[in-house]
Amino acid sequence: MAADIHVATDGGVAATHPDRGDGSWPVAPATKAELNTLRPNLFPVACWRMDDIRFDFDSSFIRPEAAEEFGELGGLVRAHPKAPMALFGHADPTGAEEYNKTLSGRRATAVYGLLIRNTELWESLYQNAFYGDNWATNSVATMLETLGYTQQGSQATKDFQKANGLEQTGSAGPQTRKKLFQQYMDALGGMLKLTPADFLARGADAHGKGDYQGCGEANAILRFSKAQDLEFQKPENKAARNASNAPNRRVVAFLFRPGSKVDPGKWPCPSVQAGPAACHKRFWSDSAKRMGVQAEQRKYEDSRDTFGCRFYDRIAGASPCEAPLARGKLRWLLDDSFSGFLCGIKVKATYESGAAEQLISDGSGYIELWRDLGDYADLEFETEWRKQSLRVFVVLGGVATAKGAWRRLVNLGFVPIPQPDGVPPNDDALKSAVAEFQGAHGIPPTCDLDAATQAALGDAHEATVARKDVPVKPLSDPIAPLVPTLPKDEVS
Amino acid sequence: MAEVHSIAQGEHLSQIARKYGFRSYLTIWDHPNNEALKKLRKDPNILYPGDSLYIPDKDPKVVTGETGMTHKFVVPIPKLELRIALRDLSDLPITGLACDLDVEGTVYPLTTDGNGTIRQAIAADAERGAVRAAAMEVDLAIGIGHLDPVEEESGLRARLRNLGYDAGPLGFDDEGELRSAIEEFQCDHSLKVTGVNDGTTREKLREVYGC
Repeated sequence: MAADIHVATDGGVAATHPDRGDGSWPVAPATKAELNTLRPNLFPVACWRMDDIRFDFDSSFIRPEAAEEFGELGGLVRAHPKAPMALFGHADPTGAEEYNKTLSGRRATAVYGLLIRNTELWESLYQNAFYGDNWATNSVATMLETLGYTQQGSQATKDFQKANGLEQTGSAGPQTRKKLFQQYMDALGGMLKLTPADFLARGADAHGKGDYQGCGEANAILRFSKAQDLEFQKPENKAARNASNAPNRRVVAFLFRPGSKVDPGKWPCPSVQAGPAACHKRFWSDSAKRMGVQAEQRKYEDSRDTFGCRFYDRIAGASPCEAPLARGKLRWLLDDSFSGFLCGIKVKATYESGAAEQLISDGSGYIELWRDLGDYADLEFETEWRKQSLRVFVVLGGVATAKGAWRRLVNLGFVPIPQPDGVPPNDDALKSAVAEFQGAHGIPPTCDLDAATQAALGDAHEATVARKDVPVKPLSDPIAPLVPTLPKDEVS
Repeated sequence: MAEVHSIAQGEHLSQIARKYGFRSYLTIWDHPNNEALKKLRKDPNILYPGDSLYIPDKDPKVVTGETGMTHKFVVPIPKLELRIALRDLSDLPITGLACDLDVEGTVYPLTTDGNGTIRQAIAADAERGAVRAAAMEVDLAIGIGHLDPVEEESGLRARLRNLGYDAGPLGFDDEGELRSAIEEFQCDHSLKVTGVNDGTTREKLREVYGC
C-alpha cells in the first residue's frame, strides 16, 4: 500500500483515493451449467485536479504556475508507479454543448501533450484556433518569459533562436515553436515525463480514446440555484457568472489500479475530436434534473447529484479531487534523533486556530493531527531525556513552491528556527535548508530547488512524516469542539 | 428423523446433503415436500438464508447377496464443480491465462479456456477459496455457496459487483451507487435504462452472470 497523499495547491489537488477494502466474491458452485462471471471493476487509486486558473482565460494554453500542480502529479505517479492514467477535461455549463466539449477536450489534450512531451499535439492546438482559444495571442510571449527570455518585442524570440541554434528571424515559426514547446513542457513538467504506455488505453487510439477526453459541461461540480441563474443571465453579470463558474472548469487525472487496461473500441467516452453525442448514452436516466437548474444551489461534495454522466460519476464518486473531504487527519510519526520512534508518549498539540488537544502516540509512534485547524500544530512532549517542542505544518502546498518546500523542510527537521513561519524568512534561509537536505539525501548540493530536489523532498516527506491521511466522511455538522485546555487525567 | 433445515448464509444443497449423509442432493431436492422451494429458487446451489428445506428420512437400501462373493455397487454421486469465467475491463474473455484456483488451501494450477473459463471439481463442503493470476494482478477471494438468488437484492448486488459494476469503495454504500450500477448494466446490455431493479433486468443479469 502506497503512502496516502493529500496535497492542496493554489491551483489544484493531488490525492490518494480511499482504500477500496478487501472482501470476498460470492460465487455459486455448479451441478449443472452454473457459471460465475467475474470482472474486476475500473477504479482509481489516486487523483489529480488542475483548476481553471492554470489555463489562460477561455484557452487551453497552460500557464507557467501549473509547474506546482505538475510537481504534485509527479509525486503521485511515483507513489503509484504502475497505475495507468486517464485525463478528463471539464467545462462550465455556459455556452453550447459542442463548444464546451471541444474546449474541455483541448485542455485535456494540452495536459496530455505536456505529460508525454508531444509537441505535435501542442502545435495542432496552436494552429487550429477555436474561438477564444487562440494560442497565437500570447502563448509564445508567456513561454519565452518563463524560460528567461525577457527582452521586449521580437528580441526575446531572437535571443531564444540564437541560444538554440535557430535562424534569428524574430518570429516564432514551426521550428522555433517546437523547441519552445519542448523547453516549456520541461520547465512545467520537471521530472514528470510519461509515455502513452502509462495511460489507460496505452495510446492505442490515434485520438487518445480512453487516455484523455473532454466531458464538456456534463460534470459540473457546482450548479446554480434558480435565483442565481436568473441573476447571472443579465448581460452585466456575465463576468460574475464566469467567476462563479470557475470551479467547474478543470482537468482531472485519475490513476487506476495497477494493471488496468481498456480497449478504446469499448471505451464509452468519445474522443476529443468527436462531438458530445456518444456521451449521452452514458448519461443518468435523470440527467436533465441533475444538470438542470433547481431551486437551491447544489455542490457535488454535498449533494452528489450534479454530474450528468453516469460513467464519470462512478469513477469520480469517491474521489477527494471532486468532493473534497470536509475534515481529515494526518498521521504523524514522532521520530526523535536520540530515542527513535516515540511510542506511548503524551503529546499536547496546539493548532494555529488556538484549539488544543492531548494525544498519546500509538505503538508505532504515530499521532493523528487534524488538517483543518490551521496551517500548523505546535507539539509539546517529554521523553526520558528531554522536553521537546516542535512546530509541524499540516497544510503544505506544492513542493515546487518556496512555501511548500519550506514547510516540508521544517517538518523533516532541516530548519533550525525554533518556531518557523510558514514561509521562508528569506532566500538564504531556504537555500541553506535545501543544501542541508541535499547533503543528507546525496543530491548534488546546488542549494536550488531543482526538479531532482523537489522530487526527493516530496518523497522523503511522504515516507517519513505525513504517512497517512485518514479520510473522514464529509460532514455537514460543524467541526466537533476540541478540548480547549488539557484535561488533568489521562485521555483514555 | 425427517426435519426442516433453515438455510444459513453460505449453504448450498450439495453441502447440506453431505452434512445429513445423503450421497446425492437430488434425494432432498426432488422430494415432494421441497417442490415449492424448488419452484421459487430453481437452482439448488443458490438458496437464500431463511429458506426452509425439508430433509427426508434416509431410506436404507436393502440388497441381498450371497456370502463369500464380491459385490460391486455403483452409486451415482452428482459432481460438484466450480466454474469461473474471467473477463477484462472491456468485458472480453481473458483466454489462455494461467491462474491458480485455491480451494480451502489446495491450489489447482489452471488455464482459462477460449471462453475465459476455468473449472474444477470441488468437495461439497468447500467454502473458502481464491483465484489468483499474477500476470493480470488478479487476486480475488471467493466465498463458495455465498451467492444469493438474483430475486433478492443481495443477489442482485452480488452479481452486479462480480461483473464489475460496483464503483468506488467495495460494495454499494448507498442507493445512488446501486442505481448507477443497474443503469450501467442496462446500458451495456441494450435494456431500457431506468435504474429500476425489474424482472427483465434480473433475468438478463442472471444470463450474463451465468447463474
